[in-house]
Amino acid sequence: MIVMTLPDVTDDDILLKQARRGNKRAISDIYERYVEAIYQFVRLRVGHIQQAEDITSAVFTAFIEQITTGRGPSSHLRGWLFQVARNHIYDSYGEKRGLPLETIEQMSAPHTTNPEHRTLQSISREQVQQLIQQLTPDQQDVLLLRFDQQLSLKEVSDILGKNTNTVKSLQLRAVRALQRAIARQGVDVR
Amino acid sequence: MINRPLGDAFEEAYERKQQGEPIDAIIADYPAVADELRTLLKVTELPSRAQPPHSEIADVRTRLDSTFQQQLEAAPVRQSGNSTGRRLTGLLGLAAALVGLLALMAVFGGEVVLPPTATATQTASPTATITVSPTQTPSPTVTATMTVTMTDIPATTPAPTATVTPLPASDTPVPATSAPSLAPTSVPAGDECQINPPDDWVMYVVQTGDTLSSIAVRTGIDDDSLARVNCIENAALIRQGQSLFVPRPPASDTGDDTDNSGQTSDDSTGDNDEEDYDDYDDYEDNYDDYDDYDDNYDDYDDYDD
Repeated sequence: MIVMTLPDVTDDDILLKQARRGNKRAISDIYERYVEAIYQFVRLRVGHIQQAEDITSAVFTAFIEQITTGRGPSSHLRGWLFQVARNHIYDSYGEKRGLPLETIEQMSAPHTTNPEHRTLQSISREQVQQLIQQLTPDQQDVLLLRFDQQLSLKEVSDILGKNTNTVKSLQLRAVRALQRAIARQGVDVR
Repeated sequence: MINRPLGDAFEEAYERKQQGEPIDAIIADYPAVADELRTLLKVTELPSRAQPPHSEIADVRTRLDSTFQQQLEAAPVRQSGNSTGRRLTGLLGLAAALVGLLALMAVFGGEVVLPPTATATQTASPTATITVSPTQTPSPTVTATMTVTMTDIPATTPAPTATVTPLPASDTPVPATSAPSLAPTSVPAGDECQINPPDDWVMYVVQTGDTLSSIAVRTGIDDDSLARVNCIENAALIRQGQSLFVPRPPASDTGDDTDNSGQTSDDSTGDNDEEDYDDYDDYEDNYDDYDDYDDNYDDYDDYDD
């Protein structure tokens, strides 16, 4: 008798397959697994709680609708969800492009409290948010997806619709841009 | 503009950092850019610090959860949602329609110089007659000949006509792509269930944690066929150590689809998985403008250096 080793398969693939067969429990598990990650990503991209909530909701509405009608992803579940989220974020740009004015003003004034003692650890959550939101949309996408959500280079390149070399350049530029933004705040990264 | 080697070095270094290697050990391998790499790697830790507080997430989730539950309850339940089945009926419809069209062309093609509206070009290209078929009935110019053909092919015309019209030029490849996926399902299932796997199937011993579903996914077959071939009536009742027949998984395929990491050298793959996102391809096209915007902005960034 031949004892075989089957190829590895991710939990996502199994859940997704069950979901495609109409298993609501699997759909629910998928939601449970990704709702917070999607919300966090969107929240940092759009900056507004309500808007982020609406977009997150729309992502899973689309997921339910597609998966129960035989459409939607058959693999690469995580990438698909983030891609839908990103599309909704871009849709929302028409309504609200850029940042609220007061945020920009806050940011353009460098923080002056003991600049020589400021370190990376001393930057507050809100400041990090603001610094990230100063970057270009693609830079924000790649920073959040790659370094916060820790998606693979391949996943990010699929989501952004760019090849992996482009994403490598983009992520380097994004990190450099963030580092410069931090430096302008008088923070010594080293 | 951007330094390609540095981009590669940064990607490698970040991957190693994700594997848990200390920054000092990593940058030692890149002496020429060690300082810059150290800084950049530290900066990669920053985005995760921007996460909203737990209280906010908990608050938002209560609302998101209830919306989701409502939508899920309202969603239709598909009975053994089987795309192969749909594809099959689609194919049958297409085939039936083609037969119908062939019959039509045979009727007309012979010697009939087509009715009033027909011109010389129509006889030259038979496909032109195809587009006529769905709209025949309302057309006043078509007379006795038409009614004859409709009665000639009564069984095939009613349903498929609508689906056929968009496809006349490109219908040849369709059967080719769908045919292979039908093969595994054509396994016999008699009254007395006999385990009689196809020749190229092999024996697999069920391991701890396996489910019929997980085995099916990994061997690229649907649950129903796997259960049928192995005479399994209750999919929940497979046990560790039990032997099942499964299609031989393609050897080269191992990890191909599921392994997303470490693809540092695989570069021309931007389009590999487009079909996974096909419903959103249209969206993508709409965002080209944004991409351009980014590129300009990026140039500016480099200048900043």
